Amino acid sequence: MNDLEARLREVLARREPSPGFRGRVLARLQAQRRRPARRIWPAAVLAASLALAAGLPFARRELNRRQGEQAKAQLILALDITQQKLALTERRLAALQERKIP
Amino acid sequence: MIRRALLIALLLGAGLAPAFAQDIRELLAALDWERLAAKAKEKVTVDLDSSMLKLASGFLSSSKPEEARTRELVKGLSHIWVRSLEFEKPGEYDLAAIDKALASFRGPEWKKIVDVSAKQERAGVYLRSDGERILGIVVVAAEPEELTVVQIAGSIHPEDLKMLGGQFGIPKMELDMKPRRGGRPAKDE
Repeated sequence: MNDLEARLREVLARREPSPGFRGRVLARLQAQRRRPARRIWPAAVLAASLALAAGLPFARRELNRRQGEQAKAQLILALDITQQKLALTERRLAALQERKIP
Repeated sequence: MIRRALLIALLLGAGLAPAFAQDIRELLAALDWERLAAKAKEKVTVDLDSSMLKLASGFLSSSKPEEARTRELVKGLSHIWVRSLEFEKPGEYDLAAIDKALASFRGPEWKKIVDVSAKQERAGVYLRSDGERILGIVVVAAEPEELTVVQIAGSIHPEDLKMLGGQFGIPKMELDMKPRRGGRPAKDE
């Protein structure tokens, strides 16, 4: 066994915690859990409610605007297709009538 | 009295929309649209009921003349349906099925305005009328690689159709309510 091994054994050797260590750790954890929980939740709920109340009309307006724009785009597309097909029908009819006229 | 008149108007209005929905459903069923749509490379489906038309109309600017005119036209409409398919190659649908489907527009309430029949094409414009008012228009265009059906339901004045002249490029058509028939063209059509 060389010096390094001896030092490692010494450093890594199992040591028992001081008396009352477990109790102190648990007490500290409980204290940390209790304190912020009671103060943060009401504030967080209030903030979320306010954000929701302020954001809801905006979100509804935005949704309505998007639906309206989509409906308008669909209406224009429908009229555009109707126009193309009416124009096609008219062209075909004109071509046929031209052929009939000597 | 007013209440009764309103009730009658409501019942008539409610009766007209399903009647038109039935027209387009029958037409699409006769053409076996779902099967054709499965073969198409591109398809367009537009369904705008009265609430969607009202919503769309609210977004048309009254300061732009074209949009303002469209707003006026849309006021009387109850529904717009558009179905269009584009195929990779010709011959994906049967022209005989188109002819059979178009035969359903022979009822007394329908007026055939334009009917063009060519070797590989069909085009028709049909108006539904109660004798005084136009209650709807159907446009069917069957091209070699494209098939389109448009149905516009609602109260349309002939002036409204003329008003559409130039609207989004819609040409002014001779809608004199007298049927015109193209007949069979020469062989190269």
